[in-house]
Formats: sequence, C-alpha cells, structure tokens
Amino acid sequence: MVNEEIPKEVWGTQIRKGLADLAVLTLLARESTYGSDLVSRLAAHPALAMASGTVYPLLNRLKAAGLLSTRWQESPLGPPRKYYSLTPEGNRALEAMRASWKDVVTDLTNILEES
Amino acid sequence: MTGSESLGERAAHTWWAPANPRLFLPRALGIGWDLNFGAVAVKLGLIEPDAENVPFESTPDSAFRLAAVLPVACAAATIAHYGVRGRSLPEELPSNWGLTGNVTRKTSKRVAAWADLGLTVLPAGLACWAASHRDTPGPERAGLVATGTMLATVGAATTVLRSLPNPEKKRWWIGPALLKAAFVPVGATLLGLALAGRAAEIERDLATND
Repeated sequence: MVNEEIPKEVWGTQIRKGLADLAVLTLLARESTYGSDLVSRLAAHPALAMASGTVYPLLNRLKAAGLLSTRWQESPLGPPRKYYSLTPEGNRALEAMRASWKDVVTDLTNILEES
Repeated sequence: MTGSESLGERAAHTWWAPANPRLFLPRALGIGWDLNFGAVAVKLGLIEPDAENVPFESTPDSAFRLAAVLPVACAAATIAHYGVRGRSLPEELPSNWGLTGNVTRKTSKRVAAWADLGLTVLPAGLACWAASHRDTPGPERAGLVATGTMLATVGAATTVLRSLPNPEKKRWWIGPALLKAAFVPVGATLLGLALAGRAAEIERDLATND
C-alpha cells in the first residue's frame, strides 16, 4: 500500500527489484551486450535505472541459474569485453516472465480502473 | 557461500567478490567482517566486476606457483634472519605493542624465533601445497595461497619489528605497518590471480571466436 510514510523512491525501488530480471533479460534478448553498456541502456529508462553494483550481481545470479552465457569479444575501442547472451533456457524463462507480466498488468489495470 | 565449501573456497569468496559492491563481507571463519579485496579493486578501476565467470576457476597453474613465491620468500628471509642475526639479538624481544607503538610485553628470543618461524614456514608450506595441487579447485587454491600469504607476511613483518634497534622507542607507525603487511600483499596476490584468470578466459574465448 502506498501512503505518506512510503516515499515515491522507496516504492519505485521495490517495483524495480521485482522487474529487474525481466528488464535485463528483455534487453539481452534484443542484443547481446557487456555489463557497463547494459547499465547505460537501463539508465536510459529512469524508472528502471540500476547502479552497476546492482546489475553485476544480478547478471551473476542469472548466469548461475543457466539463463545467461558469457563470452569475451574484441572491442573496437580498448580491451576485450565480456558479452552476455540469453541461453535457450533464458529465452524460455523470458517468455514465461513476459506472459506473467502481461497478466499482472491486465489485472492491475482492471483493479485501478475499478477504484 | 554454501555449506559444502571448503575453508579455502570460503576465504576466496569472502576476500574476492568483485561483483559485490560491499567492501566488507561476513567472515569466512568466525564472527565479524573481512575486507572484500575484489570490491576494492573494482573501485580502484583495476579489474571489471565480471572479469571472471567464477573467480580463480580459470587461473593457470603458473599464476598459482608465482603467487606462492612471496610466502616462501618471507619464510626464507625469516629463517635467514634468525640464522644469521640470531646470536646477536637481545635475549628478550618485543612480543606486543600498544596503540602508540610502544612495546608493552617482551618474550624470550627462543619463543619469539619459534613463533616467527612457525608463522612464516607453515603458511609458506600451505601456499606451496595449494599452488602445486592442480586437481584442487581454483577458488580453494586461491583461498589457501591468500591465507598463507597473509600469515607469512605478518610473520615476516613481526620478525622485522622485533629486531628494530632501541625497542623502547615509541613508533606510531608499527600498527599501520602491520596492517599494511596483512592486507596489501594478500590483496595484490588475489588481484594477480584474478587478472591471470581473466587473461586465460579472454584467450580461450577469443580463440574459439576465430
């Protein structure tokens, strides 16, 4: 429940925590990329912006769960970079998350409109 | 950390967790916190948070052998010190210092020598054992080498501090020097092992990309 005792940023953080996996997997499904680029891409969406201290442990966790794979690749600028990609299992997890997210949005929209 | 991890693996995971931004993590053994050297290295821009898939898993044998050189050198220097200068040292040597660097307790030369030799030779042996056991998982080897390095460098530093002339003189820098001896070499060792692991991962991945 949102009330005056829960500032907007705290509420936003709680939502971000729940949706971080979905946001990261969706961005990586579009295109493989490296950690700092992923942080920049998330920063382009202020509601989903996360610090690198949040993103890297999250990537580690998704990798340990078998949803991501990594590979070093040469960079045209500077040293090689570690790129993250979705594994087949990651793609399946993303599909399931998307379906759940659509259900949540539909149901929550209905509740908000009713009120 | 998991319950099935060996002490060496737990030490490595506590001391080197670059993806975790927290500078202090719960200790591998006992209560309290340990410094997360991985987070320090990331903050100093020395390594990426995701430089290795699993820290030290890809670190080559040659890096572990090289890392064991420092504790062995500390042990050799301590043996040489007591072998060469032992007879000329006072019969009593400092064994404890206060916060301001003043000597608060002394012990016999024999006890001091055995303590310093034990604190350098045994850890050096531990580091050598870990460096030479190829079948042992990398994180465990790194944890054991780091533990051996920390103990051996503290032992060698204590040997030097005991042997300073005018032991009654207050030396404010003794505490910081011991802390530096405990943390800087082990941090540098872990960073070196992680950079070697990173280089091995890059070499492997770029080779298969071609």
